[in-house]
Amino acid sequence: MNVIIDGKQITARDGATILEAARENGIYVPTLCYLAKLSWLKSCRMCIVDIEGIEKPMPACATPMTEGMTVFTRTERVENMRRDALKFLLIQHPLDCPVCDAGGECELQNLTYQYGIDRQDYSSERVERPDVPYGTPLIKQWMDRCVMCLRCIQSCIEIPGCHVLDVVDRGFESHVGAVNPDACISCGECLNVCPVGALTENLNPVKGRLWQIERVQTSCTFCGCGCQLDLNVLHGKRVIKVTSRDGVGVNDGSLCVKGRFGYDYIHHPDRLVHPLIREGKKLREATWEEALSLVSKRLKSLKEKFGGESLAAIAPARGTNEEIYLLQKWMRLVLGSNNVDSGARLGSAPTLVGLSESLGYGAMTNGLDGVVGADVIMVVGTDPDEDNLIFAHKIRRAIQRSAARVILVDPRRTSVEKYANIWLRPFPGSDVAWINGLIKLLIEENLVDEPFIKERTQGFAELKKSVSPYTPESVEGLTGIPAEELRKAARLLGKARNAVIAYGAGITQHLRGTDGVKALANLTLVTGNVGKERGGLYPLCSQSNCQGAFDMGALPNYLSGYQRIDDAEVRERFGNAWGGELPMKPGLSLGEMFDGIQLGKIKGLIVVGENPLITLPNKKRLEAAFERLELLVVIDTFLTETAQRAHVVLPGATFAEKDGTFTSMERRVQRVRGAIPPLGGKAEWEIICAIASQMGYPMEYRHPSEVFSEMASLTPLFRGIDYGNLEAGGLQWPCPELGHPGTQILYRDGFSDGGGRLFPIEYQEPEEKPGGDFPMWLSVGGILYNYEIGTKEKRALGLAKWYPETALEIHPEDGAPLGISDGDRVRLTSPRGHIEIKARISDRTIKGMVYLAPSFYDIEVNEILSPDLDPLAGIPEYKACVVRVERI
Amino acid sequence: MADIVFSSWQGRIIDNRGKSQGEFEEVPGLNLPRDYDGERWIKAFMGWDGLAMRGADVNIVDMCRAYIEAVQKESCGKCIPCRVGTRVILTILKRITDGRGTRTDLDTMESIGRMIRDSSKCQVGQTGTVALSHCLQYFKDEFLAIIKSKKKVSPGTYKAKTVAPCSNACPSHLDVPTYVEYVKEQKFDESLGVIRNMTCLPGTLGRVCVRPCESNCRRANLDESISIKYLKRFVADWELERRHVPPLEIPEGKREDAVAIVGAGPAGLSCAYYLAKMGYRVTVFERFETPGGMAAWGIPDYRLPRDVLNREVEIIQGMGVEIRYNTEVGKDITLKEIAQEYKAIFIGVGAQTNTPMRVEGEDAGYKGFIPGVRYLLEINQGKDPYPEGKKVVVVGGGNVAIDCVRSSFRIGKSDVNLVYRRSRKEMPADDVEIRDAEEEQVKFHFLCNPVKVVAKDGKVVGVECIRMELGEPDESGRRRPIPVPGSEFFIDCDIVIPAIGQGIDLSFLEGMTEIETTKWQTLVINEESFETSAPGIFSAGDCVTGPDVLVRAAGNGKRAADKIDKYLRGEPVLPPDEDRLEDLMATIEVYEEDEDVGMAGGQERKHLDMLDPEERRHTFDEVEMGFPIPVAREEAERCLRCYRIGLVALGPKG
Repeated sequence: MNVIIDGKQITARDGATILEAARENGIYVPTLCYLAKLSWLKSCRMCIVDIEGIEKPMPACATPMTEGMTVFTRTERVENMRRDALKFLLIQHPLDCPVCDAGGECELQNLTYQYGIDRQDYSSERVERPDVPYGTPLIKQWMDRCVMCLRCIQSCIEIPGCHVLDVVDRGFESHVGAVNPDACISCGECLNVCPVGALTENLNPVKGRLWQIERVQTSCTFCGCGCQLDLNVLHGKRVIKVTSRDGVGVNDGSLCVKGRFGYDYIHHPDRLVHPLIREGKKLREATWEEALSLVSKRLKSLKEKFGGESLAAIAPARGTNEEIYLLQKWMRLVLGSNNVDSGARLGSAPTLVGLSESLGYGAMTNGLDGVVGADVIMVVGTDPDEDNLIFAHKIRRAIQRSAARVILVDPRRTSVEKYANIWLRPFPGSDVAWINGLIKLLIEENLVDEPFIKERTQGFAELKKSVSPYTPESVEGLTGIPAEELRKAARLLGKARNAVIAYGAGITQHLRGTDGVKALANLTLVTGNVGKERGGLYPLCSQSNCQGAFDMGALPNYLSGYQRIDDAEVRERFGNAWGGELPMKPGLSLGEMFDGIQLGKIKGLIVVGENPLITLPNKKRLEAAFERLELLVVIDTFLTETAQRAHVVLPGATFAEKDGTFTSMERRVQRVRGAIPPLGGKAEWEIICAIASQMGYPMEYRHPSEVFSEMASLTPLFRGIDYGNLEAGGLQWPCPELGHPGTQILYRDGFSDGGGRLFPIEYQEPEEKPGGDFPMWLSVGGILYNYEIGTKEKRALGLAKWYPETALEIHPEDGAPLGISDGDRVRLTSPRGHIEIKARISDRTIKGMVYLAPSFYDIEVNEILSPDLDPLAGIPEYKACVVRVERI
Repeated sequence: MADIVFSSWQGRIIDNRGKSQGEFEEVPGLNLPRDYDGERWIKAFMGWDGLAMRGADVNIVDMCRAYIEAVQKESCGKCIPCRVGTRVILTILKRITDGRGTRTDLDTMESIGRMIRDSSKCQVGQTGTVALSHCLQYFKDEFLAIIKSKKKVSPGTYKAKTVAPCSNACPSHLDVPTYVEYVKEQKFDESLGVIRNMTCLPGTLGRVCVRPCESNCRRANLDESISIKYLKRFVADWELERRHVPPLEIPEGKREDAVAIVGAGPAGLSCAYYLAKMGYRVTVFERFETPGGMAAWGIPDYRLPRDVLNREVEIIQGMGVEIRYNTEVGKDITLKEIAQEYKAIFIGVGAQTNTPMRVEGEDAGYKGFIPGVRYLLEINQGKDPYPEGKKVVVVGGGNVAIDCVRSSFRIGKSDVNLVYRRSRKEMPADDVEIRDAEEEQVKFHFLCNPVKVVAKDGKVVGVECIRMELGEPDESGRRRPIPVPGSEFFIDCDIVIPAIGQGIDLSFLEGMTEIETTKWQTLVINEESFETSAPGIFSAGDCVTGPDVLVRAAGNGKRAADKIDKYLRGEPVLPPDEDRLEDLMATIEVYEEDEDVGMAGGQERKHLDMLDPEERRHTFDEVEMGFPIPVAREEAERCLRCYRIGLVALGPKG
């Protein structure tokens, strides 16, 4: 398209607006409301331009270019209009720039300066605007500073889908108000998009002027989305705020409440800054020298006395790749033990096991942005708005941009329900049955991708046979999903050109979690949604480096990059590089370690950044196990319940205090950048190096980048990645050689060994079924504000003050006969124990199932959960256990 | 208009100041009534296109103040020039009328006024200072006199009204720009809420409305009108597909009075919904086993799927409305009996019978001769009205005729013909529907008319027709068809369906002689109160107007509900200012077909995806697919938001 802007001949791309064409060709047009990621607001009128042959000036942001259009962006009349518009904005705007958070980066300030406005010709009576509460106490609203650009309102609707804000009143009195505060999820999107200081962070009492602050871009430490955020550091010492930038990272400026407001734990007074050594019942402060030397000596003697296999280590699912890699290297090389595992097992082991077998890699097939462009999105057993907000944003974007339709499969009414075209509510633990039922329907109605199945999969005949008993009617009996609904879902999914199937802990955290994962892999394969640009299978992780913990070899049977420990060639290669010998026999997984402790086989345990006493089921059993340990070493940032039982506690560093990398759930390796020095003096990688060196295996790395390079040189998946080429925004593995762009889409050129494997999966009833003394299901999940174990969050004021306690959700029809009303305290009893908790009557859960978010201070739900493990993946059954509820 | 002293309406300056009444130049194109409410006169009018004044007894400066105050009050706050600029002007005008103005104020107002007109986002700002600008130009002396005198001006009496061409043209006065804007802003539930303020049948009207709004859409002056109907359907579908339940606004103070409604068609349902919303106990008597009246059994499923209508009725029932099905008034219960039990009655029986063609053989009771409305009714009940018949001739050119031909394929008829006495251009049916029928291979026979239904052994075997030609226009403005002598021809068929018009069956009125009717078998009502000649009995819809469009029946059903409320409260049943002003603006004409919008256009209207004609003509599946979300939002983005503000200055008669 040939157009002329300000006399300059330009070739504009088809469909470009005047503003886009101008900007893409280096022509500046002023804007105040325009934001590329939002729909057109057209409120500020700063971008109006004159067009030849058109009487009225038009907004450049919302006027598509047409062939031959001649545009003038600087005519006297539009410049005057802009100047007038700015003067209008300044009528009531307070001149408090010196104390405004936005001072120095305020778009109104910039435009006022640019247009040289030094005099006010206009006036109006002052309007006293009401001082009403905002949607969240974490943000302060300054109505007089507002320019009514409407970005906050529209972003709240389009990005988190909340619609908390709207224009209140009309005319000059109109202002932005939180008309629907209950819907606010405190994600701070409004704060992020505000071009001026009308919204400011209301959490940290310490503020800094722009020039006193350094902004350090890093990867978020909370869920697996891998958001990029900027830690705002005052004088190089204190993190005082988190900000984010549009266009940066998978999150494009968006964050959730955890990422944006969950940072204040970093400087919490409870932070461990000195090593602690047990003396009788007490832990006393000690020097690093004393503590490190004690740990080295004790470990050495245990190894000598009982052998390496008497020692075990638990790696953090939120640690850096470098520290996880070093931990497993140290365990294998120095302590001679393969008993190394991580907290990642608790959420994602079935994905690792199931998808490795079905597809090849235990990971997400595509990237998060691949969701936008899908026409059907199936969300199974996960509430992305609670656990992975940025992924939920991608779903919303797909609905808005590519007209995606949504199938929700969850017994509980999650926030996705309000967009879902179809909502299936299966009984807990019945997933394999409905998945098989869907596959059967797809085959019957000819909605499978036959060429794909033929060319790229194996085992279809067996699969077809195995699903044949799963008629919609029999599935209805097993799962409670009406046959007609299942048919509708099959048709919608089957007719999709590009379907995304996303799942979370609702699938994995079961006794047969691996079966559920494989069944979903079957579904993805028969519909041909693997290896293409849009669509794919999306396991979601709620820990920031869940993927990395697996990738780095914090697994009893694999070294980094899924290289088998029982493979002699692999052991030799690693042994040569590391300078020693590695044990051959696969070690114990997380759950098995505690069996090992109870049997007296495990004498020493090292726990880094995990709190198994709270995260593993059946607390009584765990406490007994800890009693038997001869040595428990905990490295953590706070004195967790586990740390309180340790013999030696070493202070760890938060993500803000160290360099390294995380691997997000879309397989993207991204930098973690230290913003301040470790408060305790050492980062985890330094601690591990120090102990190893004291035990006679000198580990001398100057920086985590050297650790990464060593890992990459030994690991084909990562060979092409180093710190240098991560600067451009991270790389998705596999990245086999330097210069490789990374792999956004797995299996694009086929599967590694001949085809995707279709496994016949038989449905097996859950071990526990409601009845008798325990007539109801209990399901546990995460909620947005308190995330998993609470080590950090219960000390993050921003989160805790906003959502201080959990409650047991109970369906009204279950609550009534038990005489339970909203807010009553109830006793929740399982075959293993009981807890007491407040009840919340809610139809978000189904009749017959109570639901609980587990991660709060005083509610230790693991008292009552089943300790049984998935035989393949070693994951406990969190999502289904039987209980009885009584009013106290 | 010849009594206007000054007018700048539509940019034409007519200045009769200083002339005697007899010398007044006429104001073309302005239709400004003199009478406002029987008691007051309209002394002057200020609007989106300028101003007009009748007498010098209006203070023009104060009127400008009142007008800008109305603009500022209407300003939505969503763009800077209008939100702040009109406020700055208002501050100045208040200062002047307060006796504190200065000469420079006039220049400031002129310059800001221009800025607001040229840079505002929508027509509130774009037209909001037009009249002021005319006043500053032609009444400058009045401004200067006040500024010089430093005296306060005493405020006059004004009535302001915000209108939009689309919503003013809508018989139900739906607030189109707002609900379209909400689609753009992705507030779909809110959009539906705005629609429901005026109609309880969004999904139905979103499919079958004849959309007067779209023929009064200013966007058409730029490129093409907005797909308003489809956007309405879009938000209705959004709610239905996502299982959302609309908030049921049942008022706090329940009203004890009970109201009976005869007929669960569009008029009756609307009346019931809004009465229930006001807290009344409402009972609807419906002769069939399902609700909807003509909307249900006059419109085939491929245009209006049954679950859409049923859901809308469910919502009405959710408001507490009781519908007694299979209860025919006049048969199962008499109107008299109802009158004894209920404080007020609304009659919305519609037009349920066919008008005769007046041709030979139509009264002979031949098998295969089926009136159009009955044909559709039976098809909509899932039956084939005459399974032996395969070749169909439908007579008529309206929507019922089109529904009959298109349904015929769908029940398996092999040969489907439509006979219409004028040409395609004059067909009253919706053009889109005619196109769809053509795509589905209906055979059209234009300019011919049946003269005889031919039968053998009591069964239809064909119809004899005569060619027509078009003569002079008749009172409807369409050219009158005249038979061409000797041009008779024969169409071979076994089903003949007359669909030339609908009539009203008033047999249920038996014994209620106090209810006055017309010779066309319609009910007589007082147009302001919707009351029939029998006190407490109200009526609206096709049984009053004769066969008309759904949106009018629904709109009048709602309006009747307002009157019934007034009646039951014992208040005088006068039209509220809102209605009076809406009608006044309609008289002045809100939409100007020839207006040059002066903007950059070139954005085409979005169309719905449709089922393929070959596939769809054999099934009752809905033909039109509905907008996907991104398309709906793009379409809504095209709306120019043509809110206009009209203001009248009122004064006592004399």
